[in-house]
Amino acid sequence: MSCINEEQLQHYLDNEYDKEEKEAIGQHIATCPSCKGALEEQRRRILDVKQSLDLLVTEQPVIPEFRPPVKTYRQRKIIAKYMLPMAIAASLLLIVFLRPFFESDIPPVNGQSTQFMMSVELDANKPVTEYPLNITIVAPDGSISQTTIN
Amino acid sequence: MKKALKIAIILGVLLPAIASAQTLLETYKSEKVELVPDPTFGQQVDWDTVFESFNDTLYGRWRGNDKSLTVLPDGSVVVSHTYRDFYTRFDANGRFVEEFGVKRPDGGHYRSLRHVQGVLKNNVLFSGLDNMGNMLCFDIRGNLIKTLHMDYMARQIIALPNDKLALVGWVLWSDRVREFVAIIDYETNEEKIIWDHFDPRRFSAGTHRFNYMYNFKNGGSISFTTMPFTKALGMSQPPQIASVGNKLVITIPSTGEIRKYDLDGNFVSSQKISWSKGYISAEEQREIQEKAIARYHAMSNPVFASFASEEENIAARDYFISEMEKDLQRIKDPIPMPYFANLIKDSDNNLLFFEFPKEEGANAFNVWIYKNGGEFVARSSFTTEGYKLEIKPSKMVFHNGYLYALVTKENARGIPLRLVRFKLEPQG
Repeated sequence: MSCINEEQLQHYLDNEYDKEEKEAIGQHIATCPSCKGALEEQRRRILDVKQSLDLLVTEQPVIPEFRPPVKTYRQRKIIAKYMLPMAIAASLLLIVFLRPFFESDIPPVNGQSTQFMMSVELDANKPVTEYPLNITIVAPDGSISQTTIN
Repeated sequence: MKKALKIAIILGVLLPAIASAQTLLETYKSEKVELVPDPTFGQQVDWDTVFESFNDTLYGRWRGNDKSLTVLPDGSVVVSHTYRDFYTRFDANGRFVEEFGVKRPDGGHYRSLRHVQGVLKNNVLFSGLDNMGNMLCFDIRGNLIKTLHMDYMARQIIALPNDKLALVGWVLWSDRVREFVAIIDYETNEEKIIWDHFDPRRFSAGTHRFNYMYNFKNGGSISFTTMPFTKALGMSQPPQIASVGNKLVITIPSTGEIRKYDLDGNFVSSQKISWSKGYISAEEQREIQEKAIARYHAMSNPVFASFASEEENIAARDYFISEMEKDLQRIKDPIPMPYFANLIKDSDNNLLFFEFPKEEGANAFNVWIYKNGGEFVARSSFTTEGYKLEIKPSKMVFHNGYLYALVTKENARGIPLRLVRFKLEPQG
């Protein structure tokens, strides 16, 4: 089987192939580093969008109940143990993930694309000249929120 | 004798439904429909307490009206609130019953519940997708029945009569945006995409007219579009879906196409809306743009983003004003509008296609029925006294010939939001 293109990849991720096609593509991906890389890249994009939207709900009107941490000593020990490898891994991931954006004019998934996909339900009792102005705010951490100016 | 009794029972069940169907359609044919509040519904509800969340704010701006309603088969109503951990339940007479959350399998409650989108199998409520694509399915007591998972974002989700779900979703590819309609099997979580549309995914600040973005020095940005239907990415208005009898109807507002599918997602036929498309005239565009500019001029101390300095917020405001003024000067050609603003299904399986009104309150809708493959049979409008109507599917739901709506009462003391059951009466 030849390498899969982006459309096939997306269909594969969206679970749109029948069992046989899915198996054939899965086998190819398992043996082809290039396609495997492309698959991971697309998965990451999807995750990026979700993470970006996940942060929409960081501001809660109701303050959550405070639960004191347990086993703090053990947690600290674990954090210290894994801190350095995690930092290195995170840096490497950042370099790998950001590289394509410097090489193309395609904007990053977070924020710049997602914000323009947000849609607002229209009120069919108002003329277009009376629609409120919706503003999308993307925070430095990638979280998105919307606000309205009437 | 037995046969006669059977016929009598069947007629007894069917006749009221048939009569009601005729009544709604006949009511629309009067061209003007008055929504008359049912005084027996929602009596003695302390609205200030029940809808206390109407005062909610988020990031310093009012968000308390972000609510929607769902009517259950027994006539009880569930109201959803944005960013709240509970739903509000009313009984079939509109009396407040309780606020309820959804229980997690580990014993706690889900937080920041997504709005209820509909009801499956008569008593399974299903929510919109959370940010990780999870849909909660639960009963009226808040007991979780199951969780479905989707790998994309959803805009609209409806229940189909065969206990499946249909949804309008979108996903970003590396260079394209895909918007689609899918059918989801509630039992297996399997999905089938039955319609899709691609648009290029490119946006650069300053290149898309009426689309503005400002990037802050230390990360983060703000963006907005002043002009309706000039969105830089994706469709100017996404598809809207409804089920009519044993058909799923996908409507594409920008092309006026009405596509019919069977409940398994097989394409049946397509037709096009016959009325002509509207436009936002150059004059209207100037009015919209000037209003937006005035809104920004009025911000003497703008705080778009709390994470940026005061100077940067001011710089952002000034940048926006300058860019908006440039676009104001460039306005010349009319902008095409979608063929309709909203689609609402009534309880007799008629689809109401709402037009874009020219004045506030001057709503008008075209009634579509699934006959001879689908046809428009009447044009009408709603009017009411004492309440401000928001004509949106999230705020208006038909049930058994009545219209249930979340509306604001004019000249109300305290919180003006009300849950009202309207009777539809022909006017004139």
